[in-house]
Amino acid sequence: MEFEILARCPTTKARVSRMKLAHGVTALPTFMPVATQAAIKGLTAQQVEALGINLILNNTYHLNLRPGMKILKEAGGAHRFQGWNHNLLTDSGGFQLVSLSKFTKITEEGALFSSPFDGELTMLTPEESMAIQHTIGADIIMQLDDVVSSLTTGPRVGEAMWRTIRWLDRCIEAHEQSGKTDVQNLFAIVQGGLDPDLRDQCLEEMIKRRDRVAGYAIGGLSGGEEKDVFWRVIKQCADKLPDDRPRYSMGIGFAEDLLVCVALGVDMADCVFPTRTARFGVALTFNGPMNLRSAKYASDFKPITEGCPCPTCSDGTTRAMLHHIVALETAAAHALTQHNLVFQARVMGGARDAIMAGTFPQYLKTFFANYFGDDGYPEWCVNALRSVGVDLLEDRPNVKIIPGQGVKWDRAEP
Amino acid sequence: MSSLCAHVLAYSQRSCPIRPRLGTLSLQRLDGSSTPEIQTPGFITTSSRGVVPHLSRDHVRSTPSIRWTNIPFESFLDRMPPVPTLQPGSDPLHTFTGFPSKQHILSLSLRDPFDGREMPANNKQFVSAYCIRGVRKVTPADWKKYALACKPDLVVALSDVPYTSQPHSQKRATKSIERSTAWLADFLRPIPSTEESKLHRPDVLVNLVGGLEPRARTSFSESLVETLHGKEQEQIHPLHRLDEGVSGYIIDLLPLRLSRRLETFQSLPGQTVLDPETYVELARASLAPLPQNKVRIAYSTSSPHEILRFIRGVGIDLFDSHWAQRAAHIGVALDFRFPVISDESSIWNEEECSRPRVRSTGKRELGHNLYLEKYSHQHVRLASSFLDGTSPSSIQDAVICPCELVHQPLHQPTSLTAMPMSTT
Ligand SMILES: [Zn+2]
Repeated sequence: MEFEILARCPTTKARVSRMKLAHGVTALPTFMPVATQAAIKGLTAQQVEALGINLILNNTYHLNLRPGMKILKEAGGAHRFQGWNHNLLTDSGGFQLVSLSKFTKITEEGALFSSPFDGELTMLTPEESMAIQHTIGADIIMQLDDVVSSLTTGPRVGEAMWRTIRWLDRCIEAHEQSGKTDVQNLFAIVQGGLDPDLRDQCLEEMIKRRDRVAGYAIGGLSGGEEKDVFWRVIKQCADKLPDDRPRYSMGIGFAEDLLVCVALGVDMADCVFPTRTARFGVALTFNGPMNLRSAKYASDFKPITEGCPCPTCSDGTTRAMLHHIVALETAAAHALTQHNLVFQARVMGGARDAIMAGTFPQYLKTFFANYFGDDGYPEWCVNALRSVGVDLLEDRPNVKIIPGQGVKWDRAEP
Repeated sequence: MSSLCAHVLAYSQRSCPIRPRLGTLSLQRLDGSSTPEIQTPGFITTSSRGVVPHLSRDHVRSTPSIRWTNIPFESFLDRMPPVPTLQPGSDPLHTFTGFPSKQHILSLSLRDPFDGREMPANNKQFVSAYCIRGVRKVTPADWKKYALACKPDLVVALSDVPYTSQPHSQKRATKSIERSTAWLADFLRPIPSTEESKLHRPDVLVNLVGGLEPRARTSFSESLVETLHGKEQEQIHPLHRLDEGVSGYIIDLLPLRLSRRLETFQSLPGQTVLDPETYVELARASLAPLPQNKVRIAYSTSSPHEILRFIRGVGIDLFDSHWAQRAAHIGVALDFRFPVISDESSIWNEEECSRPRVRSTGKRELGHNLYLEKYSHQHVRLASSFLDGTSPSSIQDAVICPCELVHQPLHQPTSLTAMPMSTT
């Protein structure tokens, strides 16, 4: 991997970089859409490519169950299997295994789990996770980590963190022995729950291994923890992680979360949210989410967003037409998925441009003003951005402050 | 007013009065432009709620076999006034549904021709139509208003086809003919000339009604070509015969099948195999009195073999592709051509893709059921017997194969629906 920082925001910790992988160059910060089972639901690989996206994520857990490694080997890896000639990242399979498998038992050797199909017990070791990800052949692969819910407290959090470090060492060994280090890049995952001391210890250990890992992910978050705690952990990790390695925040997809993370120094993020919410009929816009099931759009002949370059809006698909087919025709899910992925790309592309131009703080202020408007800003965003020198309230002292998550929804009224 | 231009390029040598034929179709628009030519026999794409199922607009654009799409209007009756009638611009239906008028012909019918559910009775004032909020009564005046507001290229005149529970009496069939004729005459009534300039007058297609009785079918067609006099003629002035206002004919097979199934079941218990020529004969009864120079459309043919029978028997020009689209929906990739290819033929492309399997009856299947386990190992194109089109070669079987089908219902029909729908 070649990783080069092109520009830094003079105020926040945000940066623009270029990451060159075996399947091309990806500009960071970026959002990675999730193609769980080798397909972004509803879109062909060619359509995703046409949206300008060049880095997507596959889930190892799902690919390992279906189609399975035998078929992926025959096909010559996941790139060829799904007809995707651009960059690809796979997770380790650990997170899905814990969240989707009925039975999981973590031992020092690995994670023992029962197959959701036949109940058969299977052991996923760090070495096995590497072997599977080598077969898949993604450009970025993730270490197997010992995942605990971010709401877990007590000794289990520390145990999982230390085990994650030991498993990182096993992953590094297996990866280096595979001879694939020139085409596949291993990322470590910082764990330690919501405990700053554990996070610090984990960071210290993992930074020691910096010469043997290509990048770092910040794991163990987005599991229902307080947002005010979430951003502090992100900040703590981003501040300490080596400057010359990409930083990946796992499971982040709301636009406001993405921009806060970017301001704190994060380069990459993934989430199923924009594609999943599209399938439920919600279009993302710079003025907040738009629930097309709502009757208020039934005879609205405007596109979702005027001037949006996505295939749906640029073709003139109206809100009224989308309202007519949403939840009843798969074509509505396709159209909204295309739009939402372009929206995510525009949020991140706009951030990159602003960082390059030295106007990122203003970009953040404009985004929040348009997106939340008079509904009020989430308090945690205000706090997080203050910590890196941006005061969202500077020009808008009277805006409402919403404690808690402060997520904006557009609920469908009948 | 745009007009549908149908050119017959060649007739087959057979010496029957209604012969198979080869032709082209295009639509001349007021501004002198015309839509791309459709070669006939060819296909009309079917739609649901105004979209081709499973295809996004970019896929519709890149699928050259989608040239003429029929839009059933009834799904829009869930709001009053129906939303497409409010769409601003000069081509409301094209704009609303996203089929550019430069590339696509749109026809508008009230009912979805593939919806055979039982419905409340029509009467002489209205037709019962279906939308997700329930049954709606649509009068001939409503229908004319909607069609003129939506400005499709072609509109199917309202006809009285009962979807009440079977069987239907002969008296009912007579009423159906009377109403359909009266409604067509009403539809062809001139628009006051003050409004003519603003209103676009779509071409008219007519459903050839008459049920299972050949004589009834013939008499409906005869009523189209007979010269009207007096008040009847005044109604459609300056036309003299209804047929002068009609651009094409539709043979709608679904209601015939619904009636026929019951009739057969009652009269010949245990013997449900129908003579496949029965429907062709009924179509012939309808087409015999009518001129040869207009488009003939058949809806709800159920297999490629039946399509061939209708081409051979009564020279049908356009068929719906509902059958092929349904195959995609359930995970079947069609892979056949006519004439049937012998096992030794060099046409088979088997290094790339295996042929459809042969059943114990010795007949080869028409396509590949991608749910079958064996396809999960085939990292190849979808079809072995034809090479036209771009999509089959670029989409590998395995990625849309069993693993995918269960969990990726959005993904799989997309790729299959985009396959060329031609049969050769
Ligand atoms: Zn858009």
